[in-house]
Amino acid sequence: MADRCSSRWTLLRRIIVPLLAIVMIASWFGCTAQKRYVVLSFFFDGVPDPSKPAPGSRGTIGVNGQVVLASHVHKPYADGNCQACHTGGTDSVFRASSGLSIESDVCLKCHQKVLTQYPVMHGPVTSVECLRCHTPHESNSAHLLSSASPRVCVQCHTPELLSTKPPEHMVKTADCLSCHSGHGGLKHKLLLDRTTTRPATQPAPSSKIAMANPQREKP
Amino acid sequence: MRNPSCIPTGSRLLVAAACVLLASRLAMAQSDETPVYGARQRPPVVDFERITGDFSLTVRASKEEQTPKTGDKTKTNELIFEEALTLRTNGYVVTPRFAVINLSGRFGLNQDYLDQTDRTESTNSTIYEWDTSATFLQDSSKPLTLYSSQSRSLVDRSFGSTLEDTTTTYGALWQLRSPTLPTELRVYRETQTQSALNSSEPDFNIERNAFDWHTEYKISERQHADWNYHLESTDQNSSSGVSETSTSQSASLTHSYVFADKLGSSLDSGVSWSHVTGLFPIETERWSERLRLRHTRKFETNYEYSIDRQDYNTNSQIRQRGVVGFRHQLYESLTTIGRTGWQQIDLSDDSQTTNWFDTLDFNYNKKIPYGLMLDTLSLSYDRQNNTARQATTQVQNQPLIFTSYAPVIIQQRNIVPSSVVIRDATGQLYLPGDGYTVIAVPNGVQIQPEPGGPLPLNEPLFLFYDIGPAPANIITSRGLSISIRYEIQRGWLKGVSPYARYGMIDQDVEGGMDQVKPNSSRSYIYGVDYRVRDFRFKAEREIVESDLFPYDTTRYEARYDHRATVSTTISLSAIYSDTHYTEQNTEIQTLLVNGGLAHQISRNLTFNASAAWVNIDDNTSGMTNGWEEELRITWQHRQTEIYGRVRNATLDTDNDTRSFQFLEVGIRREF
Repeated sequence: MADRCSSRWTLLRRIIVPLLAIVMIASWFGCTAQKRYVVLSFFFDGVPDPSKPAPGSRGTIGVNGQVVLASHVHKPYADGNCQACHTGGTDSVFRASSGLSIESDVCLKCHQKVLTQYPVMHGPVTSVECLRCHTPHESNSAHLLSSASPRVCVQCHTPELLSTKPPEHMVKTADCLSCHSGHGGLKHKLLLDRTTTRPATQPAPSSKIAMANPQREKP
Repeated sequence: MRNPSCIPTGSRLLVAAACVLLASRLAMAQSDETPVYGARQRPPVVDFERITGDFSLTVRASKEEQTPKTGDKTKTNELIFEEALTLRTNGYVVTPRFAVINLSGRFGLNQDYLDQTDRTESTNSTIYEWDTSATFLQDSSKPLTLYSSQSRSLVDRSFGSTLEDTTTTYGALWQLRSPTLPTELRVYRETQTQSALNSSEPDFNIERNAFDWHTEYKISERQHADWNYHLESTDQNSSSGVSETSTSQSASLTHSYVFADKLGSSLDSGVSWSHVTGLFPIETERWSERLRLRHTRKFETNYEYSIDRQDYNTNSQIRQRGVVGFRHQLYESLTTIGRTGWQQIDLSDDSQTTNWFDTLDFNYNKKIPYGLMLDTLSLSYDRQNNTARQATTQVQNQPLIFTSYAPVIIQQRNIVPSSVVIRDATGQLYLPGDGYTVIAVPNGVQIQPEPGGPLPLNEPLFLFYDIGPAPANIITSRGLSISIRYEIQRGWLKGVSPYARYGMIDQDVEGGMDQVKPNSSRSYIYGVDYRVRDFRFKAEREIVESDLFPYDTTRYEARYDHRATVSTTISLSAIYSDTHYTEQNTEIQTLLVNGGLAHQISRNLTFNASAAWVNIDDNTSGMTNGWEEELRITWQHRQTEIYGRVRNATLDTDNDTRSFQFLEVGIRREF
């Protein structure tokens, strides 16, 4: 067994040492920063691209190599304050060590109020499933939605199971958030008041609803 | 709780309930007085809301049979009728700010007809359960809560009989809501009794008197300290022969300081003390320091030192341990963790164990076509220098969990097989034979859980055992472990993750007088995970080529949890393992299949069905087969609820066949 062991150690040295040497030489003696980036990116994820803005700043590289700014960025991410949400240190450290995304509970550190904000609450909100609908870094949809309505809604609300009474339910591309609120509201089924217009997750104050819908106050 | 000998106690509680009703009525009558205009309205001194509750009638029938392969069959039939009244109310005394009171009680009668192989009897008894609490000065910074409850529930043992569990609690909780020194004091007494439905003798009984004290002190934004103290006296008995009276005390003080740098370096310190009497008496004192320095966002070093002293039976030991380590992150792909450490244990018999250890781990992940590659490489070196040891040492609270009925191997040199016992998280003690068996294997023991026993699956358990004397020896171990995993995240193979792991330990032993043998081993694991929507599957093969205890195992696991419709949920799972111990030429195959269906037929009618099957085929101790089926139906219309439950459990071993049938039907009307 000792002979087998020594032969394996020798094999290990023959494979790993040259591999590490190639990586180090390629990374340290590359001609230009861009070439070094190409070589290192072959072995590692997260190598900073010299043509990309610094970490923490807004934007991703588009297909044509241009920097495309996401329209909505989470403030801690924009500030490079990874520790606001990640416990493993920087974002990269966390992801490399666990390979899992963060839990939604971390959102409550700042957004505790949303759990009980409205009389009628959306289930995933009360059960702290924030990441079902929201993305924590940046998004091109308002309120950092992981994808725009209706795609974000039909993850759970299968269109075939919806009532066919409102004709909008028959339209696959209809925007759910034009009639329903995302977090909660004052009405059954999280319906918005049709006479008011406001962001999907920000229902109007109760006084405004009462004024816009006076018959609601009648017994 | 059915207690034929305590009818006066039940009567007292009935009288108490009547008093509550009367007080509530008086308060309501007071509020019905004719109002005098201009006079200031006096709030009632005692005010309770309207009493609600329910009345229930329940019939339970159970049948238990045990048929030995050789010998006479025993059987027990039981029929129980229960009539119970539940009353609930809540209110306040003086003002809601002074005292808020919640009262709930369940009182009734019980008729029990028992028909056993050698006797027939009938008994009448009373039922009394309650759940009461009173909170004083709830809006103040020092609220006090007094509470008491007694509840009764039915506990199903997997592939075994249904037990009746009665838990009684009395307690008080005092909180200090201070911004700098939040404190909580709790004192309580808890009694838990479990008994078979057809037996008045308790199967298990534990009494616990405890006191908890928790205080936090926020010294500054970057410093805080925690203080915990726990005192508990426990008295437990079981029909399997456990009888233990023990007292435990523990106290700990921890301090945490986060440095004022932007990276969050920290220093954690702690001192603790504990003293336990009973079957496993031990006294422990411990001091630990942990310094974590974050030099950059990608590189940190950590330094740990701890010293503890343990006194158990006639022996004592002092253990010192120091570890220095680092952690480095290269981009998002490579994490390198290194540790080097030293540990020294001095025993009271003048023996000593000195241990040097080094580990270096590389964790590498990289996005590759169609998914993610996750690789690890671990190198380790360990040198243990043991002088001759005459005394027996103890291991306490070693974590253990059973996920199926497959055996678990505890690898430990010189372990004393007869000393192995298990406790659960509540402190309940299980001796060998009480739901599990312990078999000595080379370099350790094998623990095999038994279906139908009291040991729960998938819950934390704790092992206690002794390690016997050993001659002087030096053990040197070199280890290497390589693993690779490919997570396919895109394409038509999405969800498939093949993986493989190779592990190698080379061990040399100097001295030991042939009693301590080297255990060099090679282990190979390869398998695949598959996850698609609600379905998970895992197939794994493990081969361990060990000098002392070689074995190979094949494992399959499948799980399907699906919400078919808004009102229907389906869950299915199967775990199979086949372990072959090469040297002993023994083979154990275990299969555990579970299925469940929850369906709401209509707005008023719901039903749950579940079934399970276990099969253990051990070529040395024989075959075990178990089945279990259960059906629950509930129909609810306004304040009326009708419920029914049927359960059947059968366990067939080479020694005997045990079967248990249970039927429960009841009606409940709320008011």
